[in-house]
Amino acid sequence: MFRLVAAILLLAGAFCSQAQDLTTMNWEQIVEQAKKEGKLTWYQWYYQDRLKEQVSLFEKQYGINVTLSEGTLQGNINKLMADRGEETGDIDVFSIGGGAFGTVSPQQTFFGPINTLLPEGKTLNCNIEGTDSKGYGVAFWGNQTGLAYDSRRLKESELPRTLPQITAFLQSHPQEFGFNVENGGSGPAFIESVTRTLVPGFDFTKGDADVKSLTALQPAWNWFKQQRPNYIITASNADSVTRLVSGEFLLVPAWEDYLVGLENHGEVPKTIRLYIPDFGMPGGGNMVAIPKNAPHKAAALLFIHWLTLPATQRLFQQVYGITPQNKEVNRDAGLINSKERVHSTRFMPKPLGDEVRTEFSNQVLLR
Amino acid sequence: MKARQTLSPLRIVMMIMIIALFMLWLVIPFMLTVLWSLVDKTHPWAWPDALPPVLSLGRWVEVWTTTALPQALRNSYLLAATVSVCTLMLSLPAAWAFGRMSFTGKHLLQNAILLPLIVPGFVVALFFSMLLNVAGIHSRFGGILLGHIIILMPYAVRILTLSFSQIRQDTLDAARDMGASLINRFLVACLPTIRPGIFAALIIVFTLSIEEFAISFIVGSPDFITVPTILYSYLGYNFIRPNAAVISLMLVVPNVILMLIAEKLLTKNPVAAFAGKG
Repeated sequence: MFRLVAAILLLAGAFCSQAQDLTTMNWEQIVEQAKKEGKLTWYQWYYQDRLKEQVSLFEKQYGINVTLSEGTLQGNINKLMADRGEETGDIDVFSIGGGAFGTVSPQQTFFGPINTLLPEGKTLNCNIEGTDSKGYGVAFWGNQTGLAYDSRRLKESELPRTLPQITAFLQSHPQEFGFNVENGGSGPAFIESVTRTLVPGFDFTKGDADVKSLTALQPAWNWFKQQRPNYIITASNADSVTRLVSGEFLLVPAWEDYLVGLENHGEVPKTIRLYIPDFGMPGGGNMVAIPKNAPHKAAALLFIHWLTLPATQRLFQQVYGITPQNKEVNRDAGLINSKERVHSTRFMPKPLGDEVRTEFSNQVLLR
Repeated sequence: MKARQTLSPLRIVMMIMIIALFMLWLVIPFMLTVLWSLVDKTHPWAWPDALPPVLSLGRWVEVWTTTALPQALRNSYLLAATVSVCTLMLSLPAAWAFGRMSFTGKHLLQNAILLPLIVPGFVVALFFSMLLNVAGIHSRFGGILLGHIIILMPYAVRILTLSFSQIRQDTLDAARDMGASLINRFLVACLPTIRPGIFAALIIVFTLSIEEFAISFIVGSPDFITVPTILYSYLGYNFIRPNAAVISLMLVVPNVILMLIAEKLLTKNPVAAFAGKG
């Protein structure tokens, strides 16, 4: 029994010293250590097959083998939670949406802060979708929501740009506008945007979700209730886009990176366009972090450095239409022109953002 | 004769309805899945095209070469076959006891064995992975095998209990009276009756093991990938319909073939011929 306890303490000590070593190393030493480790596993929940092409550049440059896991976001989060009790886990780099970052107890789960260890740390973004990672995660994938349409069916001059124009559009094209409430953030982004516009005096930056605050949002629910016969609730982000492409809808909220990725891959025609209405739509993004029990921490840190480099961010911008998360990269690219990009807003901070979605379901869909 | 003439239109209507339902439920979705899997990469199937503008096998090649599908197929079928045999062997004694014996607490035990089915898959998977860690079982294949056996045993035990309960005591007694050994009694008087149950249990356990995601992912990832892990990736955040169609077909076709083989085996030995029932 004594031997077992001693062995556990010894292993725990070795593990802690490895983590501590990384914080005391300079960057050259970290790169050297990463090359010695030679491999890492990246838990990413989308585009795994396509990302292999870009990741191979990192593999060639550093001689470090990257395994991209297959799976879903929720599956990956469950795996992270299951791994948390183990001394050495399976995950080296973990991707997670900005909004979900706070739900996994980041300071207990992730190694860090890592932004201070990265050479480009000062140019990176640690605050996304209303969540401040406090350096335990850095944004590597920015995305912008907007309204998608097929330019063969809707001319640019016909696009509704203000909320009164949206109202008129819904009335003249009933059931040809759809958005999701669950399974993706594009629909909730539209709900947030309408809410912001209809409740102008409300301070959305605080993120308060008490009863008094939520009651103040009633004008938004009244608008959604009035327009209820004219729009359709879809199953997910992807469902909205699929039904737009098949001709069922004229207009749907969508993510810019999702559309660019699909267009570049020939999944949807190049005639699908995206714009940000004048009343604004929020932009969000995803972070990467290193679990405390990651088996290859130095390799993981080097990989995150590579992911967030200006060159890699530009590459992702071209291939996937992301909004770059390195401040040194120009953001004016993708499907949205720079004039409209000024209308980009931030997602409401938590818990308000989540409560707005819940209130929409309670006040509009369940009544 | 008159009665047959009056019933005939009704039968025709019913037949048409059954065929229409069959088409609506199975044939059309299956054909659409095949069509989606053949949509050419550079020519998306979009409004106003009623059919894909260009068909090609590009998606099949892409999915086969860019994902871990070949490895996942090998893993899934090897795992499912092993799980089926192990679950069956472990379920036989319990099923015999439930089907042929009377004892105190039998109903309680029968219900207790269903407990793994009540708890959601991911909850079982999370705690199971911790249990494996404590037990020092680090083999991914061994871990998933054990997990699948535990969650699928209730199905096998239930099916086999019913089969064992159908064995007629007089047939067993007759075999014994004629001097048959214990093994011969099982082979001659039991096996013919429980054979359909054995096949049914094997098929159900095999199919459920192939489709199981939670334990396979939590315990197996990232080294041991199964087909549902890849399928969920394609059905998730970035739903890519043509690629999802390819994976779905790769998953469904071998299972349909297995089902057809199993059905042949099941109908080969009618229970009534051996058990004297019918």
